[in-house]
Amino acid sequence: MPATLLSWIRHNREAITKWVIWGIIALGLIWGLFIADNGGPQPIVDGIRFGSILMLGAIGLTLTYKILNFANFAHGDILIFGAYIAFSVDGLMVDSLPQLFPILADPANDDLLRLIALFIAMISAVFGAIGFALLIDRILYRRLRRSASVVLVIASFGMALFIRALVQAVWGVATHTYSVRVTLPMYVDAFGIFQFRMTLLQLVTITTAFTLIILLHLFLRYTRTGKAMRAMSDNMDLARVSGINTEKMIRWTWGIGSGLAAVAGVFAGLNLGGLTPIQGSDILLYLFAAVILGGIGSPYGAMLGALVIGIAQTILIAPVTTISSQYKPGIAFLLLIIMLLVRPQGLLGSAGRKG
Amino acid sequence: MPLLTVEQTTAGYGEMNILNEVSVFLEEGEIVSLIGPNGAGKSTLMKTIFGLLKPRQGKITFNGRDCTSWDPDQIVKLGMCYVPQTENVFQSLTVKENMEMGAFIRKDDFSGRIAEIFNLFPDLRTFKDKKAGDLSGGQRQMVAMGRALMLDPRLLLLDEPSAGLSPKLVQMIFEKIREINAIGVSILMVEQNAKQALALSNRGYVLATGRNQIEGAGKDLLNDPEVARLYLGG
Amino acid sequence: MSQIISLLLVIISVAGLAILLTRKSRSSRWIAFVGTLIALGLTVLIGSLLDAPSESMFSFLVDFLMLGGTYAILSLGLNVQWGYTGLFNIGVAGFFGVGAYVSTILVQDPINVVGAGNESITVHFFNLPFVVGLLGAMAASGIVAVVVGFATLRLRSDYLAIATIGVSEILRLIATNERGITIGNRGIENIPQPLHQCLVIPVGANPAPPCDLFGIKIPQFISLAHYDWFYFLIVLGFLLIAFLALERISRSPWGRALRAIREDEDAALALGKNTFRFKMQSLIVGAIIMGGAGSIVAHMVKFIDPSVFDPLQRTFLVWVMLIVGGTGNNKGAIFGAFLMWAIWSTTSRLNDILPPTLLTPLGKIDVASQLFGPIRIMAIVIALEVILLYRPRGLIAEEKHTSTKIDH
Repeated sequence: MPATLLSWIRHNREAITKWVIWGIIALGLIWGLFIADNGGPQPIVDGIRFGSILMLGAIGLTLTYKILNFANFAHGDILIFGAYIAFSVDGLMVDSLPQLFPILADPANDDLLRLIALFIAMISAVFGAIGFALLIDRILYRRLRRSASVVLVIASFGMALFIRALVQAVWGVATHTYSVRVTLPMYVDAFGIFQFRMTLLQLVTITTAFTLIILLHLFLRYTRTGKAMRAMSDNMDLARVSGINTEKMIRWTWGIGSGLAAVAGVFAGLNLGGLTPIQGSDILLYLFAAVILGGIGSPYGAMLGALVIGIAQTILIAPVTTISSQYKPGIAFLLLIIMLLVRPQGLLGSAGRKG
Repeated sequence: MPLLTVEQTTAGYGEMNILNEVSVFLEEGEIVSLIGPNGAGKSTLMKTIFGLLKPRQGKITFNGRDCTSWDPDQIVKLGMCYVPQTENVFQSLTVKENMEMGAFIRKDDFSGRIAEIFNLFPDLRTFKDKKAGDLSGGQRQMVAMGRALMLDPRLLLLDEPSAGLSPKLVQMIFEKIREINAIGVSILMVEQNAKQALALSNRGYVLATGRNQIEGAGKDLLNDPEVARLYLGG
Repeated sequence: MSQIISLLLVIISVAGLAILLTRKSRSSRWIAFVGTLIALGLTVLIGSLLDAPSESMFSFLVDFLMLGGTYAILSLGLNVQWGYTGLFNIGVAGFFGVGAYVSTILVQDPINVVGAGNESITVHFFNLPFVVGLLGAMAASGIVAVVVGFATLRLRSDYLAIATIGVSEILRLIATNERGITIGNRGIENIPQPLHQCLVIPVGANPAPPCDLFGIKIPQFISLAHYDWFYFLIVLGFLLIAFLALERISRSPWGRALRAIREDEDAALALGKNTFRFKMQSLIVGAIIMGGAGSIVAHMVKFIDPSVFDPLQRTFLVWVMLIVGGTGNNKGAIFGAFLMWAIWSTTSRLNDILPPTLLTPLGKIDVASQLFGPIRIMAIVIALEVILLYRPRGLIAEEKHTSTKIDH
């Protein structure tokens, strides 16, 4: 009897691991929401907020991982580079806009001024990050297209340090913050059951992130380029065979990936207490965890993985458990390792892609 | 003038050459088969013709144009399409989306063409919103061929279309190939299933160790005792 | 003045290196090699002679040799993992740091620190001899390798890269947070050095008595300033033993198996080799060497804190050293280590000629952290990328073109 059970498990390993992991996630969610002391909706909401920032960053990472076949260690630093560009533009706008539009010089409109500045800054961040990423691809990665993935990883590792040094040279090591003032928390009461606090800024973070995700989904699902990107992610050789111009698609991939990362960077700077040069590599571990959890190459997997990691960060840490909050990266890393051991293709990936 | 000519072409990977001065040609409207033992270079020849591998020597002409070292996306525009042997569908895309990818370089509305393909492969119409990866082997092969036909190519390259299929499906695939040829698409195919392939073909080439060995009309090769002994499995 | 000369010599060395890497003919490469060595030697000599520091005329030289030696040890360790077997370890700092901390914990005397609430905590260390610390460091590093290896060696090499970086980061977090064990960010000071009390002539009011080894009294004969040379002998000894052992190993069947796995793992599997076991062994051997380096540095510098886990120097620089020196080649690893270390440490002295702050239109900037440091890093990265683009042989050891995809 045990022999047949074991062989049944081995035979259906793919499906079993998937359902077990989903089950654990669901149980964890329920435990965090209803059962744990110090649990409840607040940590879950905080986790969703962090997860939505990670989501935007993880998508670019997973796409380049699949389509370009290497783990881009510089992705986190591109993310923070965008955030720093936004910082400079933000400061510039706050100074110059009131001179162009006297109505904004009125102190009563101060908050509005800062919001507009931030918005313009974010747009600049997106363009800046995309431009920078395309430049790096043109100069470096494109020439290494045919190389082994190891070469590309080392090259990207070097680029990560380069970008970090560049950021440090231009903006210094001190923590920078945006001009927007963090608003007071609002008290939310959802369905009479869930009560939690959230600031306007945090709400904007979550809604913007999810909106972008929905737009991305529509893009991938219904546009010609989006479908071609999915096709390339699915089977790069066949995409070439079908006549898809793969270099152009690769540029689109960098564009979307780094554009979303830039938005993530700005939100990170707003929500996580300011900008420092080292944040790029700090966030990278979380991004990798999200990508591997969700399955390399799947943008939907990246979203899912990011949310899981985000929520795990908040419910597996003090005050909900006894683990010190300093160990947050440790939680993400542990989940990453467990995923590699149990189901390396990720939740939404398929087996036979062991690498 | 032949639709496709391959002249004295040499190609390989790394330091080895797989093809050595191979020459084949194909007239418009023909079905031509490439048969021979494993390692003979048949698939390599296909890949070289389609631009997935650049030849080291020789010349390839299609439709009057010298396309010797062209890239696949340029060759596709000339009117040649290719169905690889394995991993020849986009598994995570639906059947309909697979078709759309086949017509990627077309910017106009090609829904009419999709309808025509579904006429050719009626089963696919039923599955049009199903993910290609969820289909059976035979159905996937039809998706693969349908995708390649979306651009109404003059020449279709097929790499072992019957591989891994049951005898009944093999029969069905070859029937489809005949139908496709009847519409006016020339076909160059590599086949392990040499007997059925030659029976279907106007002409055939036998390749071994990267070189031309024997060539002739399909029926003649079928009946040739040498070929039968060496390559048709008796 | 000496800094300018040093800078010039560094530039010559780098030029020599560039010639080395790009010229094909053996004779011009030999000339470049010898020229570079001479330039480097002069740099170091001048650095030590002209800047006579308070303690000893040669203190710069011995510092350079000691640290360069430990980097050479790290390069050898990485060479076993990457050069022989193709294991992609970017967590060198993690293995190094584990060795440093474990060795310190084993050897250090208990320390009293002031805790968060101003209470006095005694952090217990074990006060064991140096040798125990060294061996313990190597063992700990090996254990970490086992854990990481089990999780990732069966998967693609990228996953090992991600896992090793993660492990390195986690270890840093542990070192920072578990203050009861590691004193956290303040770091551990005054780490004892081997045979220090025995050999050094005591100075001051309460001279420590000479120690005896198994009943034999050891005379205290080294002056404090010269202790470093004794320690350098320890570094050199470890380096030589590691080098000789690895040279022996690379010619053995085990070494050949590793190389086979590196070139074509599928073929090796088909030949019936248990590739997982070999890869694990290689990972462990490399890790042990790196852990040993960690221990040696801890007792050399006498101070550690969580920054030992910083990947810039202990991982990235080591990779550059190995790539520059030539992957797969033990002598190359040592050469690359000393060369890059010379460039790195000499350029850091350039910082002395620059003013500490600079007034720019953007405000006052701190030159070290905002100009010099970053520019140096960017320069090294550019050098690395250029090597990757134009001479990937430095990264990928000689490939034999045997297998091709045989089509039908």
